[in-house]
Amino acid sequence: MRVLLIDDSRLQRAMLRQMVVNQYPDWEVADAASCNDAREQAGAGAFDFITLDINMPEENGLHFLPELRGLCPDARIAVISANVQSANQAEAREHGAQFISKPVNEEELLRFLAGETA
Amino acid sequence: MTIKLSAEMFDAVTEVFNVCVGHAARALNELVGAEVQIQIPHVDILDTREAMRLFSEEDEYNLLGVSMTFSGGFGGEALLLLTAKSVQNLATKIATSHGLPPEEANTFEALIEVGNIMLTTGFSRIADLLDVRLNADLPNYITGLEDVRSRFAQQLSDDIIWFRFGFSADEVAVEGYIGFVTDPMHTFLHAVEKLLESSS
Repeated sequence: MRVLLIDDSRLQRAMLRQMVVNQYPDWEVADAASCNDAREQAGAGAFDFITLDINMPEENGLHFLPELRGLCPDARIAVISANVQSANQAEAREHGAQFISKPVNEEELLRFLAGETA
Repeated sequence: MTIKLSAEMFDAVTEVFNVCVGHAARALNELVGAEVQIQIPHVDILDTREAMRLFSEEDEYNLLGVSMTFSGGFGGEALLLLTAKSVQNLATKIATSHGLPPEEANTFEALIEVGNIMLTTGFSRIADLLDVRLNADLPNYITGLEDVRSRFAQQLSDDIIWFRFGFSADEVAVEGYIGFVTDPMHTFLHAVEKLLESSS
């Protein structure tokens, strides 16, 4: 399985990566610090799971989500943010993504990676 | 000259802000895995000069922090301020509790991310309660209250609402406080009035 972690915070990416590899040491985990970086990586190869932050420099994750969905139509996507406003959660779901709040609960992330729907 | 709110309105404003307290504290609890104690929150209506004086009086520690400007249904600034020692402890605790190597204990990154999570969680809950949508700018790093004063001196209107509460997580030796400034005040008060109307 291939996972893409999109978050401008290096610390957050490191924490998410640790959660993934603890459970799935054989999975390939890539990360992107911006939507542009993610755009390039998603365009170059398919991912099975993608996590997407909202509040990032240059481009808002929710604005990028429809394009990301187009680039990776088969990926399971989770929007991960502390911006837990109902409108943001609804917008994520409209584009077929789950919503996971920060701080990320490891069990919740693992349920997402196990393919369970929130 | 600051405006006066009715007792009912002041109570409603306090309750709206209180919504964010528990959520912000829970966010910190989940990040560091330690119990978080909360001090009694305070709400003040201040003019710019009073606000500047208040920030001066509170500058008794070597504080570091994060500020975030939010806008949309109403606007303002959210602040997280911590003692420098707390920031170091926070970084170490977050790295170790997530199984990261010691070199990942970067105080700047930890502070920015903790600030982002606590403050965004806080005003997101307020936005939902008031049925408005808020957008946030990226978090800014603050070194001392002089940074806060210089930011606010350029931005504040005549009157602001200043909400703050102190917190501590003794087990991991972290202490600080969170503040929210709504500015201009009238857009926020209008949203609170609508909430009062809908619940009466």
